[in-house]
Amino acid sequence: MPNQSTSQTVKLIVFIAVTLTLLGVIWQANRLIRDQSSALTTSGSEELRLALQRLSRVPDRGSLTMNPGPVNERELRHTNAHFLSKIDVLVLGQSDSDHMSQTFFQPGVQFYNGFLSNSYFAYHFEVFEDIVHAVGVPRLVLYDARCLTVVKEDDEPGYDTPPEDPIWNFGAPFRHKAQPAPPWYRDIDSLLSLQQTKLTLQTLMHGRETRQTVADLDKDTGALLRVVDQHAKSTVHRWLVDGSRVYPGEVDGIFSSRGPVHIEDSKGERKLNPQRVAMLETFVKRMMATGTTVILYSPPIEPRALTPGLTAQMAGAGQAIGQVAQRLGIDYCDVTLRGAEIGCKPEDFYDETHLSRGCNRAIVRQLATGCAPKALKLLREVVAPGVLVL
Amino acid sequence: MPFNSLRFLFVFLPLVLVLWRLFRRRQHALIFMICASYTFYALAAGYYALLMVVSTSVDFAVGLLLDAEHRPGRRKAILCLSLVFNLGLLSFFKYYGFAVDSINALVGHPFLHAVAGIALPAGISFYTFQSMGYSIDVYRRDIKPARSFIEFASFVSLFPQLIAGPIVRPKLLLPQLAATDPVDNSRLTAGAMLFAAGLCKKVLIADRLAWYADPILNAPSRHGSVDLWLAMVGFSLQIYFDFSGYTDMARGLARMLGLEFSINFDSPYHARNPSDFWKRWHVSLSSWLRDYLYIPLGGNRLGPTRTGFNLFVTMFLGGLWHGAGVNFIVWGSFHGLLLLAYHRIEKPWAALPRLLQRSVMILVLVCSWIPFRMHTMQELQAFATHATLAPHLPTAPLQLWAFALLGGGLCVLPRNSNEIRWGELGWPATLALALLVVVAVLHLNLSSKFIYFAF
Repeated sequence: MPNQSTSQTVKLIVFIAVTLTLLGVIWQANRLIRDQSSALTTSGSEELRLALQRLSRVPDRGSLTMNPGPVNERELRHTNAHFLSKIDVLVLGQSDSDHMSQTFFQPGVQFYNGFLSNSYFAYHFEVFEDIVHAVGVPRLVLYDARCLTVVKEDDEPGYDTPPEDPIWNFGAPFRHKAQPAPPWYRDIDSLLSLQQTKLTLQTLMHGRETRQTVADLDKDTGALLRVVDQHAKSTVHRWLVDGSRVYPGEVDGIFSSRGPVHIEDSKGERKLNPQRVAMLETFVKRMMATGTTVILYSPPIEPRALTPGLTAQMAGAGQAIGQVAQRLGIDYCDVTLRGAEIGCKPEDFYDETHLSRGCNRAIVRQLATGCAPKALKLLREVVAPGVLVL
Repeated sequence: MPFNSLRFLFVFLPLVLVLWRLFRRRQHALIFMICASYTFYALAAGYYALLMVVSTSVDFAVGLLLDAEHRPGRRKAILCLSLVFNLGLLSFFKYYGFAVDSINALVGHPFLHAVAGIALPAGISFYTFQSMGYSIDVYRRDIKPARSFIEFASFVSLFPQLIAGPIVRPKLLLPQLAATDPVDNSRLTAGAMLFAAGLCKKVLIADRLAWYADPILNAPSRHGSVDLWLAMVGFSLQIYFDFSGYTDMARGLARMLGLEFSINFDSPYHARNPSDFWKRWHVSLSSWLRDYLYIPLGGNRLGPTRTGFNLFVTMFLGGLWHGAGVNFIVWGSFHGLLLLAYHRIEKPWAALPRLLQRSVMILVLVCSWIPFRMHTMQELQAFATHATLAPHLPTAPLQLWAFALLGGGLCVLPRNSNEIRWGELGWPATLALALLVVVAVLHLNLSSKFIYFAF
């Protein structure tokens, strides 16, 4: 019996040693691969990738300085998709959803805010598709379908619009780009395709390559792509690890100064654009086909911007989006004209459309307390209990 | 901090195992285990850990009072205190919101208001049942009450079984906690291997199946019959590997600590009839329901009509235990009716060839998982419509077919994880398991929550 016990002990030691050694070898090899070349991913600049890695090292303290705008943000989203874990709740939409935060959801619920400033529905779908390819289908998509979007005159591109079409004013979707084999792959005598090789390497690297980067925060000099203290005031826009944004001067969700409030009617008569409504429906339908649950919502507009004319236009736009939701059998929560009613205070509006974290929290509360009845059960599973309390 | 997380595997577990063996006195070791278990639980449930303190205190006191009291009426009243408290706790956190929603839907307007800020505390269904079972056992004088609060608190809070079972009986666990035998290395090895096998089941099979089946099952109205049925077979395998993987991990952890838990799965897809299935699937729950609900209701002692009623009520409540939702009621009722039907045809059924019995059972079980997986009546309706009226060529990814075949193949193997002597694996099997664990660890970032964590 003692012999048997000894042999079992040896077996356990070997089992643990083999497991840890293999993991160590893979981790070390991963370090070498990463240090030798950053070309393993064809998306994003080396600087952006390193910055994102460093940001993920200090999720509670860091924030990434960056210029806002669809071009930079699309690159950020596309690159960031490879650094994410399986997502439970994904936010999509324009910049007015940029303060939707992980803090609204229960610990353990993986959240990501994939907003894109000044963007088309096609770009939102691109963010969604990147994430699906990298980490699988999110359980829930909170889609900010701002009413102002569907009353714009110019049309939205379809996802299959040719890349040379000038409608892609911020660049064609990444999937249109030709993907020539990078040098590192051409030099490998591999039986695996480029995609298979990338996937293998990314699987090995995922979640681990971040550990070798320096965890210290950078000094905030106003320079871009620096990881600076998220709890300190900065003069530039910053992104948090959950994908949400911090405005210049903002500290811990409180705006220090506010932008101007435009009167939308001064830009001329706005009419509902049926093409935009149709494109919204198309992309939401495509998302739903992957099995995710989509909730559409329209966030509030700063009450001072709501002239009688704009109020009527927004009501019409909300009705059109509501019909889309009805046709697709999903929830639509329109609080465009109900900012004060749901608890958004004047100081919650940075300008006519951009909202504080507190106001976004109020939107999530609305969704989880009956404004999205079809997905109520799912929302109750993911939303933090504290958010439900006024 | 689920078992399938890096923090658990590389920080919490090694630390607990090392410190647990360092304590010479049992009381000290148990105090350490309570602290570790509460830390583990607080990371999942936050302040709700305080509820477990209250529940533990109530049932410990009830146990002592029941032992000291000899008058039947008083004893019954004391037991009622435990039942009302535990069931009240469970009802409030698990069913109150559902009841409010259902009443409001019936009335047609918001007649009642849900309590804002209430979430379902992790594992509440498991630890309230475990704790309540203790009080009933003491009431029946099946066991002596725990004399030490420390032993009882570690029995309720023991982290390997805290969040999703198995629901371990006090008769089995309390004496083990009181014993002072040191953990021998052969049990440590066996436990580690069983835990590793559970991890691989969860990450490499259940999560892979979910990856491919979920997109289809989440949108049943957008897929045709072949894909839907394939995905439902995938889910039937996923839930088995997910939950039995969790159970193997829990039992492996217990073994590493020198404890032994009851089995929870015994090759359920080998079942030849519905009654056989419930002796193999989530055994700790089905035996709990049998001993504390079905038999007290009269079991099969009061004639066939009453037996049928008792069976149905037990399965109905068993379904409701899983969650506050119409789908779980449908699922429980389906199994209740299945058992009733089986008892009607028991003899002719037994005469059928075994292979036919098993094949029909597998078909029935796949169908029974439909209401379990489809969370709303609309989804259920969409599944029923498209799975029967939308024939089409399969478009599901090949990987789903492959993982379904792999999972199905593993399910029909003659030996399950309870029957393998994990401490005596040969070298090739040990090394293969180590390789699989490495692959599983590399996939942890894509691993999802255990299904039964939601209950």
